[in-house]
Amino acid sequence: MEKKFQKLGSWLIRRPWPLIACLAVMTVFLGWRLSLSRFDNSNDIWLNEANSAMGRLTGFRELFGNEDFIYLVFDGQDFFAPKTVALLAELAEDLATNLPFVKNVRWLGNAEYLEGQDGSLIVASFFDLVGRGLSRAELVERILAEKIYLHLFFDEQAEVIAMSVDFEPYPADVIDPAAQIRQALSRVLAAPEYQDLNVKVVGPPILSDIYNDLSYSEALKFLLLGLLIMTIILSYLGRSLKAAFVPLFIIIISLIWSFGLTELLGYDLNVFVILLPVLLCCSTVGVSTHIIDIYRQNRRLGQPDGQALVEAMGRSGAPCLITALTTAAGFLSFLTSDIPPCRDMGVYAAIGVMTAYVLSVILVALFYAPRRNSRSASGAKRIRRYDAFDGLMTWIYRLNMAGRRLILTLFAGIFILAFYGYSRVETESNTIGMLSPSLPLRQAYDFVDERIGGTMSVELIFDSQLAEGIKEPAFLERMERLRAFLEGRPEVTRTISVIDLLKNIGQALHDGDPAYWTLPKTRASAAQYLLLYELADGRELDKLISFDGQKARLTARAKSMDTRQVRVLTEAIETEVGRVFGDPAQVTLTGGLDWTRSMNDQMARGQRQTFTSAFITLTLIMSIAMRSLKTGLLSLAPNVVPVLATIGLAGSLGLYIDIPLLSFSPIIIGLIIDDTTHFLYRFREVFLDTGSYALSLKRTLATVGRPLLFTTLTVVGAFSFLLWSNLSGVWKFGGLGVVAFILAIVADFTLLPAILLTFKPFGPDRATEPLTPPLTAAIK
Amino acid sequence: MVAYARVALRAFLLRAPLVGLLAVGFIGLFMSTSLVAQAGRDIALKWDAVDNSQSSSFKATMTIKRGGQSLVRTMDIKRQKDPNSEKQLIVFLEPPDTRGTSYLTWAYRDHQKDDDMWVFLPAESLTRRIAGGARKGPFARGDYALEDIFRREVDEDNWELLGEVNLAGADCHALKATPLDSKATGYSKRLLWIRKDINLPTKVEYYGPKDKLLKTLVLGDFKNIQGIWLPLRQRMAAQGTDSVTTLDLTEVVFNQTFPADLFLSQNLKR
Repeated sequence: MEKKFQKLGSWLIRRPWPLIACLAVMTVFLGWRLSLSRFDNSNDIWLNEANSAMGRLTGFRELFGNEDFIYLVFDGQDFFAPKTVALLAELAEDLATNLPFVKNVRWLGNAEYLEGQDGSLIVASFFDLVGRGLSRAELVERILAEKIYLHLFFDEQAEVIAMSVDFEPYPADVIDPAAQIRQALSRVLAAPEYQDLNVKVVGPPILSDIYNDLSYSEALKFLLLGLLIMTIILSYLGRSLKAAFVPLFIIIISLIWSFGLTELLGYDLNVFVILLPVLLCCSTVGVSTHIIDIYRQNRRLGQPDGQALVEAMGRSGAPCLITALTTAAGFLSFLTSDIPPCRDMGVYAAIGVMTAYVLSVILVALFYAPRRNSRSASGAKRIRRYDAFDGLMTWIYRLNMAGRRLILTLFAGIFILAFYGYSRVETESNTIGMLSPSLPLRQAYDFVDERIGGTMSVELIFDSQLAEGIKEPAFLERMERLRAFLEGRPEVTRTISVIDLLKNIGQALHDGDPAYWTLPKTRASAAQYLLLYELADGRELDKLISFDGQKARLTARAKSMDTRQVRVLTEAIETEVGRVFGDPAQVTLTGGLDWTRSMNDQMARGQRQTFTSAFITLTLIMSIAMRSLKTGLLSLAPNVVPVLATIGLAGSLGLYIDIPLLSFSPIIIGLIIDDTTHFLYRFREVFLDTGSYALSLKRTLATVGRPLLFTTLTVVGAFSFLLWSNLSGVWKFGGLGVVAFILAIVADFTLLPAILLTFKPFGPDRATEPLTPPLTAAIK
Repeated sequence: MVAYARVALRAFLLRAPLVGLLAVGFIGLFMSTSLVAQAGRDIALKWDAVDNSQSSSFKATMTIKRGGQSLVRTMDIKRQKDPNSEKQLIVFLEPPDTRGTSYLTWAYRDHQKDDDMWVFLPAESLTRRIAGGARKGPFARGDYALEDIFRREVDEDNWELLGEVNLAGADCHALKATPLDSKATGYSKRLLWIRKDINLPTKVEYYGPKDKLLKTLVLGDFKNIQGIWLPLRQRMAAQGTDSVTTLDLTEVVFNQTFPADLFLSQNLKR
């Protein structure tokens, strides 16, 4: 293997210009493809088509259309002053005209108002009342009495009012409807006349598009910051600008290639893309730093440029290939996940890692290839000055030789504690909770939660199992019981259903007598109430009952909840459904809360599946690379412990696993195993040469210990920037990643040697330690 | 002063041909626009005059198909024209739960005056006058809007003759109707193709805000009954959805004599 990589190295440095030309062409082509990349962070992407929740949502859409909406909330003004009413009416008109895919815009100004008076049924909008000469106080009183719009279009004091925009189903050929909607909305709201309206906007298209923007801007921000910190650390630690510049150049080219290839393969990007640049930085730095470091060691031993490079390629080629494979395998383990964006991310991140590996090998060879006119003759041996890092390696060596049993005991304790913490960790799928409280969108969601009805909802679809069956009084009575149950729950702010409509019609038909706020007594009455409503220009029926009158919908609005609360509420609803309907098949739960719960179950399952499959795949790769199952298994210990300990720490601190953190275990294990691979590979190489475990440890620490430490410091630096993310999942990923990398390097320098010295996986010691072997001069 | 007048005269003489040309152009444009509008209105009036009956009676079956589901509504419809209004009584026959529900409308020729509507619910034995509805919503959950089933006066729209086309073998006038009062209708314009031979539309396209096509009505199965041409079949398809509503007319009788009190709200209970 070493010879093959040496051959590759010498082939690469003999043909620089054709290679450079090929790389340039490919980079331009993939850069163009990169510019065509699409982001998709809509809710739909997270549940696979086979998921029952997705099936329920699809069924809901077939009956009632697109469930997307945006909600504009206004406060701090006198909304009943004629001037403000006119302005809001103008805004509603502007939204209806200028937003794409709009089905309707509803607010108090055009909300249906049914009133029975002197044998007439008056169908009007609320603000038609303004023209009737009512005083402001009377108008507010009338509005507050209209319960069907409370918490929908106004709050309990009528101080906050809302405008709701519903959408038609998005055409299949529209690439990014959320972006189109948000852009059009921004244009409308930017008009000078609306600047005094204190408006907050929430809703799935806005959330999705802001997530897209955050994904893009944070990916770019963290890439730049990552590159900056890497430049500083690598140039300081390597004491060479070139040693810093080359990995950075490779990272940039790798990113262009990776994203270009991702687009070429037809994948959309999502919130995970924020992490990808940082992850690729880690992977690239690992490969290029190792090759460069061995090259520089060879140079210090007096080898000419070309030979030093070819030998460095030979020695590092195979372990670097294994590290790239293990990292890619970590990402590919996402293919076992039920969550489509995780699977996609697994594929494009794996492509990225392998691309970074190939480019690292080629570009390091090209950058360090001897110049035609340069001095490439061998020089005198140069012994590097003994520094603090060498001191640290010496201390680590001595610690391992003296206290390996203590180390093993200590890590066994950590493992037990970590496992306990891991079992306590909970998942969280509320995407709004992932937004930083400092973001205006999060503040808007919090405001809506606090003042006007909440931002979450559960949809109940009642199936009478007969055409026109929902008009049966017994069926309506059962729906009413469930409605009353939901309105009695503290989490639910209000319900919307045909029940309210029928009662409203009943009362209006009887001259507004509150005694008639009841359900119709006969099926014919119910059918005729609804026909009357249609003939009176009522337009809400399609949102409330299915076309054939077999199914009815009940929407329960709720304040934002965490997944545990969602689970409590949905289980309570299911129990009540069983009690009221007997046959649970008659009621289907769907909508936002159902999505959150199903997503959460899927995430918990995905977390276990991906970690298990990453563990199995990595064991296989390491066993093949080390030609021993025992070594493969032992090599996993210093990697599993840090990951479990970090997740366990999160569990103990009460940090939830949310969407970005879902990918934590496989990604981190795939990255930290790189250090173990370099360590083991070098250790095995020296052991086969010397037959001594102690000497192998000493030489391994002297040669690969230093680059391992440098790459870890660099990666920790890059990860620490994620702490500044506006998405909680991403900053938790950054913080926990830093902990995991530090624990991993500690485990590689202590647990791994302790395991090797204790279990002797390469066979028994064949020699005693020689006095001062050449490469261990740095370790005293 | 004389010099000034001379300069002004010279300037006028120099520019006169150009001004004259422009004036002729503007007048020509104005006249041709007026002629196009006049021609359009004339065609619309001819269409309006096709049904010269004083009354009519027919059975209408409205079949709405949407997403694999269908809903059938059968109605008995009677119409009577007065000098000032057109009265219409729709009695629902199907579905059975709505049988006997009656919808009485008085549409006034004076389009400044709001139409009157009453509904009778047999299950509750109640008649209620409906006030305030904008009539832009769907009629009986189909793809027709309430306003589509009301009589619309010719002079509620601006008419423009767009040209002559052959549509499915029939020579047609292509017309554009733009509402005079845009607030009173859900449509920004309608495009109509009116058959030259029988002066009836064979296709109508309805446009909403930003001139977005909302739905298309195709009329067919034209028959001459008692000397009056009418389409016995209509198909309204909403744009961008799978929703289609067909309307089939049967048992058509013109100039029938109805009881004098048939179109009175007080008598709906009967």
